Amino acid sequence: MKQEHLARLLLLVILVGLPVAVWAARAGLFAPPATAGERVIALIAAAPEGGGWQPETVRVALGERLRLRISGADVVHGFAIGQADIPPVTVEPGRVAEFVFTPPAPGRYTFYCTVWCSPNHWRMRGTLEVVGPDGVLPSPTPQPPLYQQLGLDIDAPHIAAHFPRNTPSAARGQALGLPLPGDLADPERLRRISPSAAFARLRADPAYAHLGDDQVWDLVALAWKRSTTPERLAQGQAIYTANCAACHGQSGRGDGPGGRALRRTDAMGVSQGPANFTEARTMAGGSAAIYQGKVLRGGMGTGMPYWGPILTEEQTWAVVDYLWTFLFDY
Amino acid sequence: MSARRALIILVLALAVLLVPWLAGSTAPTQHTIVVEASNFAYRPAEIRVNQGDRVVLEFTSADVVHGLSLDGYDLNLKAEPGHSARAEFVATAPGTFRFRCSVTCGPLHPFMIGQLSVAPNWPFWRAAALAVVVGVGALGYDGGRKTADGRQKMDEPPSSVFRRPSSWLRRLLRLRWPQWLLTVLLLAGFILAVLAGLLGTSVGNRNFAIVFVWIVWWGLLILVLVPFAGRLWCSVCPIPAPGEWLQRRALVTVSGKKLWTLGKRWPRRLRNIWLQNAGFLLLALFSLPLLTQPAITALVLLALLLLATGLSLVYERRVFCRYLCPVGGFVGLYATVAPLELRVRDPQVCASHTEKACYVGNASGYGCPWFVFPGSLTRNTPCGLCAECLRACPLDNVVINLRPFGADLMQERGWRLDETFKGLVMLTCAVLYSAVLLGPWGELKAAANAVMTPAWLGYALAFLALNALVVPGVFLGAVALSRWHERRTPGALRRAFVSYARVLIPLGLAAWTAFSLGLVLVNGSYALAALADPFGWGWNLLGLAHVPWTPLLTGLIPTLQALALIGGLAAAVGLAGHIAREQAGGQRAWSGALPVSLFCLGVTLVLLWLVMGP
Repeated sequence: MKQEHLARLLLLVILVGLPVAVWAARAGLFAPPATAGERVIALIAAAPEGGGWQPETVRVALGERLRLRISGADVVHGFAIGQADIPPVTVEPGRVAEFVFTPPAPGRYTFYCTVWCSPNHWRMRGTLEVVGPDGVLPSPTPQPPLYQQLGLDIDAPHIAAHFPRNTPSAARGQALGLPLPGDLADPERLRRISPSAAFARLRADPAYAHLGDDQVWDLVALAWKRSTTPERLAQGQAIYTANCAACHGQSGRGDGPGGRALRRTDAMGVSQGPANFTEARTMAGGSAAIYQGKVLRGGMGTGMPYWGPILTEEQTWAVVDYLWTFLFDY
Repeated sequence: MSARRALIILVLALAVLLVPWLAGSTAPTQHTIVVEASNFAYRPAEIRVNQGDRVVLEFTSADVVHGLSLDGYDLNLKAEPGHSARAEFVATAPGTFRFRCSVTCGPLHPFMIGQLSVAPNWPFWRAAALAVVVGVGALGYDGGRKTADGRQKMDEPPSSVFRRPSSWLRRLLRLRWPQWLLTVLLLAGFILAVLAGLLGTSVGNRNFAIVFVWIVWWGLLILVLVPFAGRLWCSVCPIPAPGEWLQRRALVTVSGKKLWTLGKRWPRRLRNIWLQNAGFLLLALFSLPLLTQPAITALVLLALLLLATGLSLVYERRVFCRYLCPVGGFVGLYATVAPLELRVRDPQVCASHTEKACYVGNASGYGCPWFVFPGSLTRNTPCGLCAECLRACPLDNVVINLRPFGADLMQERGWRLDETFKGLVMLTCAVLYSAVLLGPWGELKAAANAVMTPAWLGYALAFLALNALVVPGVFLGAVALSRWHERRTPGALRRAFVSYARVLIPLGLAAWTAFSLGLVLVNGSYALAALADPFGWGWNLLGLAHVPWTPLLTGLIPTLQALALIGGLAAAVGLAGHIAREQAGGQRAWSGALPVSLFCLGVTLVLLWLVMGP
């Protein structure tokens, strides 16, 4: 009988104890005591079709150190906070990734998925609301971006009046040994004009009248190259590869696999899809201000996401700088 | 077999293995191949090059992050839409090499497979030729020494593992608690699997339920327990345990009470394994969702537990195990191969023993829960090795014997049509799983997984037709050819069909071994991480949570699979010859064995082609 009692006890432990232990572990009873001033937040990362971030909005108080425990529900995701200079973490399916973050100021932060996870990948964004000590969630009015300051319509077509037949080369432009006019040597001013306009400006200038069209284009390429730095191009390439290449393609031709679902012909018979940055006829017709505007605001209805809450201003300029490398040979 | 004949076979076998290929070598070229991954296939699914060629692999992904890990090469790439990967290698070795996804990409991730075929595919042609040589050799094998009536004589009579009545093993088996303890521990694992399946991550290869049921348990069952110990699993299976404890109103001890059950008798017309055949086929139709979705696995486990418990309250003994368990059916069939058996030492002792304690039970042991009277037990199939009879027998007449592999298959009597279909269904399923789950055809996997869609209905119909009509039809045709001369004798064909079906057992077990090697060696390493973090909740119980996926022996898998298949073929053809002699009343009758042997060879060649073919 003693054997039987022992057996009953063991069976009870297993039938009741095991589920209870699992429940207790889930409820955090075995977790180490939370560090003072630290808050643990559980987050589920699922593709947008599977629910996206759960929860989508997290509200915390300023001053708390946040330890986000992110469970991967389906495919590989990544977690990052927009406009914060913290490396993203990879969230693998069936595992838990940790991301530690102390919000520096009250306000709304956007967290987003950094790994292409679905055709709706870019919709996988959530909001972190950091409330100040006074209990207020500030909503600052940001400085309007350049395209708004200039009053540009970034949805208007920008077919270039002039565009190069061959890829312009900054090296060949350099070899001409000619000085650039002052307005084209100023990076700030260059952002407001298109390569097409710059070409027209040089073409009309008697100082360059002896040059052929290709040579003028080489000078345009030189001006564009001088408006950036190798570091910014590298930064821009990294951002482009992480966020843009899935649709626009690693080669910039608009042929990335993520863009296939976006390719369609509209009612007017115009085919739509991710922009092809190597197509000089359209690329040379836009200015950096327009392209930055498209990056910030996205293209309503075309599938182009808005990157305003995610990229810093510096990052948006870097990625636009990188886009020119598809038109010009630096 | 005469020595000369054996020598010829040996020389031929060595020849196909060692003779260098005579094909003219082609000049090595360079191939640039773009492989695009998308859930859950590679495009192209097959890369064909010649030996010595340089391959530049551009690996891209169209949907989510995927990997490409090439068997036999140190090559593991990762791609995401917008980030392609590139690798270069020289295809030094000929043969077929699978490549598989190395980044968890969704439910079917473990089955996302493509293949590199390096021509000339010597390994495949050598294996195929070896299969033919071994098949022909086994066909001529006449079973060695024969007794006067022409029946095959066992080399040695079965030898009990109990050397003396006081053997430690015997005393251990008579103890009740070790077996109970093991069952209870497995029940704990079972409950953990159900909890993990229902509450844990839905990512199959990170969930204890999927990894421990379909990789660890399955691999252990089909590769080790069944071929070497028959129904040993059944003796500690946790599924019928709660029902049996309720029936007995005791956990470990012998209560001496009447079984607590309505005590209904199982309908006579269901006292066979037709329900098990149907149950297995039903589950097999949903195999991809079942194998990849933890919640479905958990619900099926739970359903089996409830069914077993419920039935034990209505019917006497273990009706579920004997007549319903979808696993028990094939375990019992393949247990006939095991070199281990529970039998009585002397049937005369049982016949004259009036108490029949082994069947009705006494204070030392319960009556056989499996409806078996050990005194008339001749095959492993119905015996669950629970050892109650060994404990109950007051005359120490129940023993565990060691015996040659497949000893049960040599006897003619006792085989039934339901078992024939079990053998056919199991063989067909092993071939189909090798193609659907481990083959490079993404559309097939997608159709099998998209339950209740038109594509799945097509797959299900084809699956059922192959299982229930095509393969049985072809096998019946082969048997009919063997028995052509007595095609007008009523009932003869059916008897021969059932009798020849024994060849399906070594053949099917070999097919499942080949399939399971490909599943278990590749995915076994998931077990460590799943043990450390059974629910995918970020636990790290033994510090193993971050053990990466490491496929084992990938360069060797096709060879091991081919060895299993050719071994199974040799056993099946040898058995076909033995059955032909039985049918011919002991006369040498290799022509009678020929059609069925060709059937076995055909199935083996199909399987060889699936695992290593060009």
